[in-house]
Amino acid sequence: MNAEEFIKNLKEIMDTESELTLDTRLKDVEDWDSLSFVAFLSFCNSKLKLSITPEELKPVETVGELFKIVGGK
Amino acid sequence: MLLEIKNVALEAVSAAVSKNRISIEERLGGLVPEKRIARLKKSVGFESFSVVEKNICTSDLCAAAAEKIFSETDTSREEVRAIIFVSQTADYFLPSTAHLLQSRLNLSRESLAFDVGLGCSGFVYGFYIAASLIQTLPAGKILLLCGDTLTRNVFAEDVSALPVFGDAGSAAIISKREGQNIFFNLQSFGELADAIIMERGAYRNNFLIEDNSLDVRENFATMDGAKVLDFSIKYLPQNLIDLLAFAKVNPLDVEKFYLHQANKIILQDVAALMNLSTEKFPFKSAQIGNTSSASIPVTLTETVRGGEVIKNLSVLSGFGVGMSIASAAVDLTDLICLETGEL
Repeated sequence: MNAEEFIKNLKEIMDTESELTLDTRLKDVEDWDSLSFVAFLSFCNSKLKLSITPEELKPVETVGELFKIVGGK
Repeated sequence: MLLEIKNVALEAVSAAVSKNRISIEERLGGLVPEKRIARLKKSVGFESFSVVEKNICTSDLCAAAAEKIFSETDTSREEVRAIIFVSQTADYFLPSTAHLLQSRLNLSRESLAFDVGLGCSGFVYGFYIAASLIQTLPAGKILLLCGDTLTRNVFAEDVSALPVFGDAGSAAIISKREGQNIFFNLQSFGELADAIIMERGAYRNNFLIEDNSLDVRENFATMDGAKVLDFSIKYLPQNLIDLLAFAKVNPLDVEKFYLHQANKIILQDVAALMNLSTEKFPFKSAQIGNTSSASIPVTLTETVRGGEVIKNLSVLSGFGVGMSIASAAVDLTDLICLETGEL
């Protein structure tokens, strides 16, 4: 999955209209809430079959860092 | 822990929910943006909730479910030799609610009665306890009553618990039956206890009182949704795979996986991680909510209410508060399952 596809998936998970780039800070996106967090965790584990824990996601600040976690696995 | 219990049957199941249904819009009105409500419906899966009035306890719902069994099946009150009440929402700290129900349901004094403190995994745990216990009883059947009124433990502004929990009580009959064997897989994860916890009100911590009111967030149950999801996807698929390997059953040959109705995300994820169709994992609680220890019985009674047939080798699996997992592989073809009742 490249960055463009990742952002498309992320927008779907968050159900957001906001423009996202790899530099977007998650705290600036209104739709990055606890529900998005859980939905993203579910996406990583069941769709991508990556073993990712909430602890790994919690410190993440930008969309790019999320992409790195997914790409690095 | 994998084990097999021989010559025992889950004979009958019944469940009761509240007549009082509250929509998610009403439940979350003013607390979250409308868009979030739409997202919750789509992903978490609950649209309305069975919510009891403040004077209704779990035991009231369980009693209604039990009365339905006595009036609509062949099991008579006289046959009941043990009453097991599984819940996190008992009537009192003491005595046990099981004794109150023994008297209320006019069950024999020649019986034993006790409570078990479990939630999400409670029905399968209770089934295991009953299946074990019945081996030592000289005769008769066991009445297993499982349920919770978790809506009464949710803080009025808790936007993560309000769109999840509902109330229900259930009743099941466990009896001896030659040739029917049940396989169980039971696991405990006490190190994750704080994922779902009500920290105040028992003996470790008193309730907090602020401005002469107990209506303080800390006095209610809390759930860490991400931690519960992480727990479920990390441990539940393996628990089920191990259970089926032990029972020598191919997962593809399982008729249905009747899982605790935690939420739609978890059911879909577990199906995906086991490479099985989500159709094998019925989600029947969209109009009721996650009803804790009653949710597997409610899934069965809702299946029957929808006109579907319950049959063949199926899996029952509860997972959550403790944290704990209890799963069973059982042939449900001869199960007498009644339609969901209301109180």
